[in-house]
Amino acid sequence: MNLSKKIVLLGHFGVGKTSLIRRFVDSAFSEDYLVTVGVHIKKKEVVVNDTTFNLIIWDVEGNTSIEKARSSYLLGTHGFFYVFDVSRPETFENLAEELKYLEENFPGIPYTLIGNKYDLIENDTSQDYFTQHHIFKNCKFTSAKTGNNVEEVFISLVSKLL
Amino acid sequence: MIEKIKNLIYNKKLQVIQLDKNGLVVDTENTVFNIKKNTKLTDLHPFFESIAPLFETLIEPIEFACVNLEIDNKEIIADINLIQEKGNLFITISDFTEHYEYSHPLVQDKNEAIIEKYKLAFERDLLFEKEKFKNTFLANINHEIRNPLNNLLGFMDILTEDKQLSYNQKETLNIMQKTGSHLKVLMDDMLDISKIEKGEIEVKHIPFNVRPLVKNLLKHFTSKFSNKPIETDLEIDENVPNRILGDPTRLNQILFNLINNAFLYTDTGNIKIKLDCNDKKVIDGKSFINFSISDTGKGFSKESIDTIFESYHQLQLKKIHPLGQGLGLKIVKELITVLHGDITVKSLEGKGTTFKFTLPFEVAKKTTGKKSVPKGSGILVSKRILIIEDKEVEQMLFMKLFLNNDKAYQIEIVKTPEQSLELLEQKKYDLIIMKMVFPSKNGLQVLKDITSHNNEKINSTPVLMVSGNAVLSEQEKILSAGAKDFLPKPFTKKELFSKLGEILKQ
Repeated sequence: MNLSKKIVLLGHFGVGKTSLIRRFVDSAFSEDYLVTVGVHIKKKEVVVNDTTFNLIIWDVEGNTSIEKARSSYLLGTHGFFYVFDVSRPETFENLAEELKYLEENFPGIPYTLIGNKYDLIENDTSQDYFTQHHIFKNCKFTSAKTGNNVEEVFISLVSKLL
Repeated sequence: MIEKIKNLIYNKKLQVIQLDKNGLVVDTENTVFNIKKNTKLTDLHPFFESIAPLFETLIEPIEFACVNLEIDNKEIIADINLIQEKGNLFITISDFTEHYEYSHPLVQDKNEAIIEKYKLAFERDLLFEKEKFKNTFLANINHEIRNPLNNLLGFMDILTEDKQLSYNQKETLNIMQKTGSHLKVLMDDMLDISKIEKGEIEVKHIPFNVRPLVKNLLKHFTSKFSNKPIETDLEIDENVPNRILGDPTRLNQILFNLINNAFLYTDTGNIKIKLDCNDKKVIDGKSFINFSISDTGKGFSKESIDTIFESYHQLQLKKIHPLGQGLGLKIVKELITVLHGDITVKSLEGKGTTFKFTLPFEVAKKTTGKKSVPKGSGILVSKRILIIEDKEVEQMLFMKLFLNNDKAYQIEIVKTPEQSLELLEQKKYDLIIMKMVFPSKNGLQVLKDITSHNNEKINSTPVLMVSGNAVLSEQEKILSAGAKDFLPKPFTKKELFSKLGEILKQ
């Protein structure tokens, strides 16, 4: 069985959404920040629990809030990633509202919270901040740069789509 | 004709594709992409694959703006519309690549600028936090040191009154006292810096005469450094007003530090102090007095001149006896800023230094009237003071301070706040002296227990709070909680008795 699933990455600009997809789909990374205008769509096949998933990943341009995103981009989404940058507080200071918006407007659609650029705070006391706040309880931390945890977060979201 | 022109421009940028419900191309133009009939659109690009589930339920048109597509090695950025018309499904692809690519660098710049803006703000906040931490740390450590220092200075004070001391012992004691007082000055300096940086500095606005203030300071230093062959010259222009409104304590502190510096760094030559007032420049009713302190001393090197006003820089300078000179220049700079003035320094290594600063002052109006002389019966009525102190060393210090005092103050000491309340019920006291921290209770709570006591005899007894925490906010807290007055540690016997005199006179 081949299942086509639409995955959308949301979050502020510059948090590394494009880099996460590039790491996951092409196993590549670039330090340069190139802004995403509009949407890029990539495809990758993954097998989870003997099921083949055809992931169609929507790399949406960054916005300070989901409300500002073009609503048509979110139509028919099967799973969301909400990505923030662990080194830039402005990208996670309104998390509660953002996640509430997702839950209210896309009920039943699974999402995963991702704290990207974790390599920047490795061996850093600011890690404590994320362990102390309840909102980060189910957050997954990734580094598109090192590749750490990237594959895992995609697979974990897909397994929620089963 | 118009239609023709329109078609000429837009036709090549617009492609309309008709689909059946399964996504099979029924009809199409080939203006943007070369698409064949009867092919599956969903196979051309994952975008179409992911919107395919919308085909069946489509009623209202849906617009997908700014979609990046790559088909057969051709990359475009398009607005794509999904339209249902009389049961037929249409997809339009409008190629806006040029338009979107043009805006790309603008968005890139905008986003980068925003990221940078937040980054700078974050770094600024971090610095503020660090500065706040430093100031709190300084204030706390200051507090911790003040208590033992108070005991040291207090007991040394008492020891000077001992007539049995030998010459050698007196000399030793003298040095110990000087060292202790120096330590106190350093503690005050440190606290001043942290107060200024926390914005807690209190600026007075009272009338005073600047002439005697400067003369006395110069006299003090000339006598202190009488062993150095230095000539002094004081020039106060007659246009400097006699009585001005401002903060004499802070002005004194500024001049003290600058004149002290001049004497310290000058081994021979002269020190010149000049004051004048630009009487033509008056802003908001304020005149500006220019002060200049120049010496023929060692001077500062080019490298160090930029940093002499910086925080704690003197602690790092090994050449000029770290710590020895206090934290003077930093305080000078900060105080002048607080007083809305400015300071400049010119220096040549080996030749000398000139500090110039300008401060705004209001000219005080002349007041007439006789000074009132307090009247009294001349008979000394002994006053009873209750002291709440749990530490033995401090108890002993109080006992010694009040021993044979010529004001005939009688003291009683209790160890705990609870005992004090018992005694207050039984006897009438003229004053209570207490501190801020007890093992069983916070001083503020004890204070409230006294001032809000239902027995008027107790709640009307004035309380003098003695604390090592000299931070302004702490003082305000204490005074608003009902204390009559506040005495910061370390204090001398003279300071304590002068404070008692003030309170008990009322």
